[in-house]
Amino acid sequence: MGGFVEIGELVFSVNAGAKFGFSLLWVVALGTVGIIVYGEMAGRVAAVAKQPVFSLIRERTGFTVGLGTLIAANIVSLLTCAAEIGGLAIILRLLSGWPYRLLIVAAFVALLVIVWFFSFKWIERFFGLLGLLMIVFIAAAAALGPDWSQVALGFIPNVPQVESRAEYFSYAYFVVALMSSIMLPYETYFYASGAIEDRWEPADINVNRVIVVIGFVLGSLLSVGLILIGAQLFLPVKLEPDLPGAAALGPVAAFGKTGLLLALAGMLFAFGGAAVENALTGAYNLAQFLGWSWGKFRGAAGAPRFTLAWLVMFALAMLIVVTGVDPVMVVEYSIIFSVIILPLSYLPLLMVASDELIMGPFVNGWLAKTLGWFYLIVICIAALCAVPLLVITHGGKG
Amino acid sequence: MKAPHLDIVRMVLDRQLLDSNYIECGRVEDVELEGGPDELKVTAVITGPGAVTDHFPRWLQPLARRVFGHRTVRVPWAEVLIITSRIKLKSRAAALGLADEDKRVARWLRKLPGSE
Repeated sequence: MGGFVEIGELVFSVNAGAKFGFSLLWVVALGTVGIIVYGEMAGRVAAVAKQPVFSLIRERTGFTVGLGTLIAANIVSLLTCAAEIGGLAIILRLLSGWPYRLLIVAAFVALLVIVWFFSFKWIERFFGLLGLLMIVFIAAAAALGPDWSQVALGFIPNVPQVESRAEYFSYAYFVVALMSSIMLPYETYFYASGAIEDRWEPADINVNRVIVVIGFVLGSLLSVGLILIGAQLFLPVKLEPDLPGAAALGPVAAFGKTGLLLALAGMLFAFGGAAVENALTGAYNLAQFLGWSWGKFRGAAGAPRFTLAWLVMFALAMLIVVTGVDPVMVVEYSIIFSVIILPLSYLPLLMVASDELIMGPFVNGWLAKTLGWFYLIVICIAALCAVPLLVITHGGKG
Repeated sequence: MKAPHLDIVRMVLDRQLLDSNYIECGRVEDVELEGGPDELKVTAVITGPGAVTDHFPRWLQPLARRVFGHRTVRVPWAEVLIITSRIKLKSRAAALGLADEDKRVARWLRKLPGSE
């Protein structure tokens, strides 16, 4: 499932295009390589050492630092899960016209039933395959006929000509937010846990590489498509779309009613998948940190505290969003705060993947080591800038 | 403490415990040592929710004990079978008193359809 767009990436991508045209496309490329590097490492360590990310965090950073990372990571997962449930209710409301709060409860119950009764493999297949409907955004972005030479220029790191200093800060905020939304830490936690759920062995390392490259590149192509839609539809009329449903205007403009239905259905499954990933991630993190028995493959009776943890994650997420808080605002904050925990999550992973005693012949090569350290520096800089930029720009509003 | 003992403590602290069926059953939260300054012996590993919550900041401990439990479990060193990146024990978690919290939650979850 990892790699598909969730509500935060969707909103930030469309807004990035609406505010700065194609000029932030390079951030998508930079973030994509970063998440591929660390996703591949997480999958490889899980397959070889059978160690998920929060197990490594506990062992390498000790209890106190690990506990801080666990609390921060689970707050971010909880807020993201809440935002995804809110996003689901928004899409269901567009489709049905029913009351928003009723649809929040309906989405919560549906997700609970799916995760309770489906095996891990079927959860992956259900949301992963139906989330592919999101490809309509890529098709719509292309059908709207962008200036491809300008699109190509956007992939070269640049700072656009803007009118004021506040706009430069806003651009920097979007660089950090977009980067963070692509490199969300829960993606590696979930991916490594999933590899152990699927009982990967060292022989699966090539499968791991193929999955991370295809999955994350597909997710990033969707992000590129959304930036192109924002740049082509909203930038010319100086509109900053705040609602996730606004992104569907791209497929509407390109393919009419069919495009609208495909876009809404795609978002429904992408948000649903992300909600499930975040609820399970919260439970994985907690169980792995404390050493509990965990895994969907064990069933509720085989991993009771893990099961209770994901049930609680869903329930808390539903309670947050049912208060009426704006899910888009919730996910914007959770994305900005998630960049702060990225270095604490990725450093132990890099250390273990580079440890020949643990990894044997599957230890990091020079390319993985170089890229790993490069991205660690990049995310440390992003982590230091995240909160100041959030405050200075009032959440990107300038 | 002599270097070899320090090495053993470093090697086992925070490690995942697996029972004889390879089921996760806690982490090594502390190590029990016996003897004088010249001859120290590791006699047990300490685990369980009570040992976990002892690591929490003091102000968070009451809440942590309510949520996770307060039992501390002593696993004799003779129970340790293999030490790798995880620590394999000779007996089942239930026999060592490491499955009580799971059993309590499982009893409640079993009331729901499809829990098996």
